[in-house]
Amino acid sequence: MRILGLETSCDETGVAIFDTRRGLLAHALFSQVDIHVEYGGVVPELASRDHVRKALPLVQQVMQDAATTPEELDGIAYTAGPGLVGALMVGATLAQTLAWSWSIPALGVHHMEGHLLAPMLEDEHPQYPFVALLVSGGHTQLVRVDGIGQYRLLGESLDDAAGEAFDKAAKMLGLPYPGGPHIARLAESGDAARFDFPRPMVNRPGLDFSFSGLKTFTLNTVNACRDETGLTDQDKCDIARAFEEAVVATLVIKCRRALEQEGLSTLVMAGGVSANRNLRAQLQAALAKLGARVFYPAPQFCTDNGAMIAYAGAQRLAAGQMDGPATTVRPRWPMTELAPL
Amino acid sequence: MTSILAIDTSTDACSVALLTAGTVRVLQEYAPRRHNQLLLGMLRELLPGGPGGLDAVAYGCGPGSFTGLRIAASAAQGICFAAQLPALPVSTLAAQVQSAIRLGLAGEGCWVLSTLDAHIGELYWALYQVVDGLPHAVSSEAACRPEALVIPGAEQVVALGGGMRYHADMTGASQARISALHDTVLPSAEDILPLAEAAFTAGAWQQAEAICPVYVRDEIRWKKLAEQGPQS
Repeated sequence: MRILGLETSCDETGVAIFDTRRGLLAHALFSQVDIHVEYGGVVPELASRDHVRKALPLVQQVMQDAATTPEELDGIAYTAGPGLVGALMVGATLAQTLAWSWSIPALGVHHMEGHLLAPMLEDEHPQYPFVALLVSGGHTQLVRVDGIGQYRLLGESLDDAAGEAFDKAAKMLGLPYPGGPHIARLAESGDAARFDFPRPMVNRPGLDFSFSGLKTFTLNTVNACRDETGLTDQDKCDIARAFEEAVVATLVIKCRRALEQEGLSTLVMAGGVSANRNLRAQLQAALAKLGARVFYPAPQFCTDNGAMIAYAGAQRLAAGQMDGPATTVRPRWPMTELAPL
Repeated sequence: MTSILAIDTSTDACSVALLTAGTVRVLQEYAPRRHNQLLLGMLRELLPGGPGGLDAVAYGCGPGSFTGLRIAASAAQGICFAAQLPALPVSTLAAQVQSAIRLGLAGEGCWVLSTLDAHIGELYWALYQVVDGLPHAVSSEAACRPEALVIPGAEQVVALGGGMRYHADMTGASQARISALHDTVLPSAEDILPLAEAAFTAGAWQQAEAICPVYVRDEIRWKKLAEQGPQS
C-alpha cells in the first residue's frame, strides 16, 4: 500500500510518500521559519498563506522523487489536528480533493500520533508496549502506548510546553525564533555551576510537568544579571546552560518515573525538542542505569514532517479506516480519543 | 459543450455549481465555519463519477474570508492537479455583480458598486459596469474604511453586498452616488459560472500550480519583534 502524506498543522509544509512494503520513498519539507522569525513566533495567517503556495509543488516533487504515478497511490493521509485551524484546512482540503479526484480514500491523521510513530520509520525501531515522551513547541506529554491507537495519557504540561519554554527563554536572551537550537548552542559554552535553576514539579508525585515557573525564574535571573549594557555573552551562555539543564533534568526524571510506574523498559521520544543533544545524552545515560532503551526519530523527522503522517496514515488506511463523508479538521483533539487498530 | 465546475467559499455561504450540456446545477448552503465539512459532500453529489468529464474548474479567488478563500483555492488545486484541468480564478466581487444581474437588480449599462464586509471596520470594493450581460471592472479591487471610500466617476451606482453595512459611515458624496442598495446579495458558485465560461473561451485560465487566493488586504496586523514590548 502506497500512501501520500501531507502535514500543514503549523509552520512547516511537509509531504511524503510511504510504501508499506518498501518504506519511505520520498519526503520534502518547506520550513517557514524565515517568514515568522521577525515576529518572534508563528503568525497563523502567514502560515496558512504559505501552505497554499507550497503544498501542491511539494506533492508534485515527492511524486516525481518517488517515481510514483497517481494510479500507484492507494490513499492520502493528512494532518487533521491538533494545530492551527486555518493551516490544517489547507492540507485537509487539498488531500481530500486529490483523493476524491483519484478515487482513493483520504484519512485525517492525528499530528501527535504521527510524531509518536515517527521512530517506526527507522530500521531499528521500538516494539510495543512503550512509554512515549512527546515534547515540542505545542506539547509535553508522557503517553503509554500499547499499540497504534492504544494510548493512555500518563502526564502532561499543566502550562507551557517545553518547546514553548525554550522559545520564551530564547526571547529573553535576545535570541531568534525558534529558540531551542539557539539555547542549545549557547549552553555548550555555559558554566553549569554558576546558576542553579529549579526543577519544576520533580518533588511532587505524578507525571505532570510545569514550565511557567522556570520561565519566571529565567526572567528574574536575566534581570538580575543585566546592567545598562545588557547581558554579557557569558551571562547568556550561563543562563542558557542553567535553563537547558533544568528542562532536561525535569524531562529525564519524569521519563524514568513513567517507565518505573508502568513497568516498561522502552521509551520513545519524539517532537521538535527531542532533537536536543543534551536531552538525548542524559536520557540515554539515565535509562541505561534502568536497563531501559530510548528510541527517537532521525533528526529530520523530529520536527513536523510529512513522512510521519504518511506512515501513521498508512497503518490506519491499511486497516480499512478512512474519512467519513463530512470529516473536518480538529484544532483541538485529545489523542486518547483515537480509535485503536 | 463546455463543462465547468465552480466553487465559492468566500463568505458564510458554501456553494458549488456545475455547468454541463448547457444546464446549471447548484448546491448552496449557509454554513459559517463549516465549508470544509460540506464541500466534499457537495462535490460528490454534483459529480458522483468524479471530475473526469470536466473542462475546467472555476473558483471564487477573492476577496473574502481568508480561510474560505484558501478552502476554494486548495480544492481547485486538488481537482485541477489530479484531473489535469485548467483553473479559472473569478473575482468574488464580480461574481456578486453577476448575481445582481441574474436577480434583475442591475441591467445593461448599469454601474454597480460591489462590496464585501472586510471586518475590522473595513470593506472590500470594486466598481463595475454591466456590458453584454457581464460585469466589466471599472476600478481595481481595494479595501478601505467606509469614510475613505471614493467611488470613481460620476454615475449613479447600484450598491451591493455585505460591505454596505457600513453605508451610514460613508461620506455624503458617496451616499449621494448610490441610487439603490442591496446588502443581502452574495457571491455564489452559480454566478461564477458565466464569468468562468467567458474566461475559458478567452483562454484566460491558469495551471493548478498558479492557483492562489487574491486577498486584496496583504498587510498583517501582527507586531514584529521590534514593535513588541519588553518580554515578560
